[in-house]
Amino acid sequence: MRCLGAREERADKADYPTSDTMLESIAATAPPVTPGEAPDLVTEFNRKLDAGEIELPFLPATAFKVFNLANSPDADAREIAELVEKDQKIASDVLRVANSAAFSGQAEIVTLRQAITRLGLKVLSEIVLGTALKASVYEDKHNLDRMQLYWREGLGAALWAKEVARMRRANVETAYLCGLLHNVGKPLSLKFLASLNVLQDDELVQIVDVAAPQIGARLAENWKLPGPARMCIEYYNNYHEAPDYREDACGVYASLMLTRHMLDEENVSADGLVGDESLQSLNIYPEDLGKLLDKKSRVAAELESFS
Amino acid sequence: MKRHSFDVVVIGSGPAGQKAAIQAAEAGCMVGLVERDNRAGGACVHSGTIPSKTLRENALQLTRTRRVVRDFNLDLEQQEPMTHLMSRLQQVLSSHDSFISDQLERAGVEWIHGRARFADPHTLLVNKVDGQTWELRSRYIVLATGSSPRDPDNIPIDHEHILDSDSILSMCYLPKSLVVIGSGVIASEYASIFAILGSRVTMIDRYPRPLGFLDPELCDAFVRNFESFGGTYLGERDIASMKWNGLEVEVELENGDTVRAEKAIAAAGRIANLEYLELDKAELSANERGLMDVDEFCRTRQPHIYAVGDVIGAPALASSSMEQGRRAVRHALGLPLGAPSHTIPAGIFTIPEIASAGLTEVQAREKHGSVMVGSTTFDEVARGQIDGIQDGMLKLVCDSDGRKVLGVQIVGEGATELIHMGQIAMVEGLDVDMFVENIFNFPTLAEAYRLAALDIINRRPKTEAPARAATA
Repeated sequence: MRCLGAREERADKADYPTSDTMLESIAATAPPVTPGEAPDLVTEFNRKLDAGEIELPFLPATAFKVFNLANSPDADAREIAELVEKDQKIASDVLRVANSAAFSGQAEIVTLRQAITRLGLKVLSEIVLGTALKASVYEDKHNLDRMQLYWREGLGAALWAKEVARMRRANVETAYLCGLLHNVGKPLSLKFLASLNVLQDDELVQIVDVAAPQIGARLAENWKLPGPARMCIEYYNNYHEAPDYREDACGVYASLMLTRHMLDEENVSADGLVGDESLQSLNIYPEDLGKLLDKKSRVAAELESFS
Repeated sequence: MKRHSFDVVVIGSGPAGQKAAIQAAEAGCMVGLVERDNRAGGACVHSGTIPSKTLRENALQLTRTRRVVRDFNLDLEQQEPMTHLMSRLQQVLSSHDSFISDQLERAGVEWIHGRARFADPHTLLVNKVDGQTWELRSRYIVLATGSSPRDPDNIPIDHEHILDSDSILSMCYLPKSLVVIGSGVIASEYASIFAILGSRVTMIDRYPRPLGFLDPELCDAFVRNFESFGGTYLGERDIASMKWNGLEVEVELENGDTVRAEKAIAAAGRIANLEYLELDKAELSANERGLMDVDEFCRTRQPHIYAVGDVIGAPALASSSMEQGRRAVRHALGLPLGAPSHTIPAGIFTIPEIASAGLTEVQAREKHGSVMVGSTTFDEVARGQIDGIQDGMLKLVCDSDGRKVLGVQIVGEGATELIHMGQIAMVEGLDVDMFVENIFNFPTLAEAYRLAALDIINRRPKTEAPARAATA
């Protein structure tokens, strides 16, 4: 994928604002909401956004630039290293992941050039985009556990989406991006709702699930994400209705199911996955599913490293 | 477990399977068609012939547009995303899907989505995608399971950086550089398409020239064109190892050289899809080349089990596979077969196109000793000049008297259509004179036949009356 947009004017700010800014700006004025009112919540969210009362989070331009550069025919390792070096937080995250169990060799990696050599540009760009996304969207001191779960589901779906794409001979890079971004609406919705301070935890989760695709779609539009990623954010949970890129959205949903199985085998069994409609729609037979699940420990290790 | 009985079960819905199923249904049989994919058409429709030809056509359109843009001093964005180049594909596939589905439905063929394997010589078990198993019993069984890209041990295909001929179509942007492993039809087709689109393409194979089974003049024309697009052919090279080094694909050759590229495609042949069939349960096995052995009627060692299409090997063309499917079922049902066609044209959709029918010059000399060969280039043909077709050539191979047509080879745009005139001349046993004595539309590339025929006629031994001598 090469066409991610960025808000260039904030490119050099390492200490970038997060969606906490949004949370604080609406806390005082938000109306009470009940679980049946998710559509109203989306309307209210959109109204406030359009009125400039709240702001969407943004990714640092470095992340977009690195992702675009690494996935372009003109990729240049030196240029990418220089870009990453400018953002201290991203640079330290890259080094942390490069030295984690899933990637480390015998020698410790101490420079970004070493990291690029060991990880390769593609993996490096995935780390950069992932860590920037996490810092920008998924960090919230009030809902640590829930945010961590959303983050791990997004990242897990990205890693599984690559494997599903390989099996289906679909584009691996597109699949990763779609998986990573598919649930960005959830942290936004959660922060927006939590700020209202009137709901029980289980009610919050229900409304977040309903509202997230549409709220995420606003973010996708704002970030000028490419078509497949936009469709996956808005339709992954309802892929039959996707007007375009339906197979991508279905692939993301299937990848999310694989992630949930990986994270919670007791409640999402492998046998249960056999009957999953998204896997059937992708023509993934039970024996193919078995081959995918053979990769579970590797995907889990990557997830831990990136997390 | 659900159980069904049929007169004929066909496994695989590619060109061979479709024709077998429709022929059986038209003969009044109860027919089941088992397909592992959730769409009809097989690799031909979804990952092979049709997608690659769509890409080729769009690449040519783009090239023509660029030429016009250059000639008229206009602007055109240089980088064409692959997705744009494949833009018409979904439309082509949808139309084809509907056509196949309607045809099968009208014929009354029962569609069974699943993977088939033998339980015994007359019984198949079908694993469904939802985990169910169905049992099918049938009087006759036709294996038309097609083929898949071969996955060589020394090439770590990851479908991301090192692709095969299925996953190459998933790329969403044009690579700056591409290594193509192989020199056969698929390798040459993709190499020429990506080269004309602007990728720096390097083909690598152990053979001295690509498409080595063709007439050497045609191979040379292909290489000349390929190089004119910036491509490089590295022949007589063996691959020692290949890997994605994190930055680019690195190909180490046995001679110590290293070739690097942004992406690579392994197009080192195809293997028959027999792995799920559990042939031993039907007391059958694949031969040493991994193919099914069949007789002239496409019958395996089990007289009620037939194999057609890619699973029996060469020519492994969609066109010949369809006819194999139709004839296999007619034989099984005791219907008249008609005379088999031995003159099968080969069409290679490289840029430029290449087509061949009958014997090459080398094959004709081996078989008949002395032969007469006539040829013409497309720049001698008015239509070739009008269309700007460069480096086109038509070559006619005749017997030693310069009369009976033994083979036709063509390189140049339009070759795969043009070949059929020569094919019919051979099938009907016509003299080369027919290309001169008949009137064809002008200006068309058919004129190339006339010029190549004259090249032979005018060099015949002068034993005839002067009135017979022909002129252009």
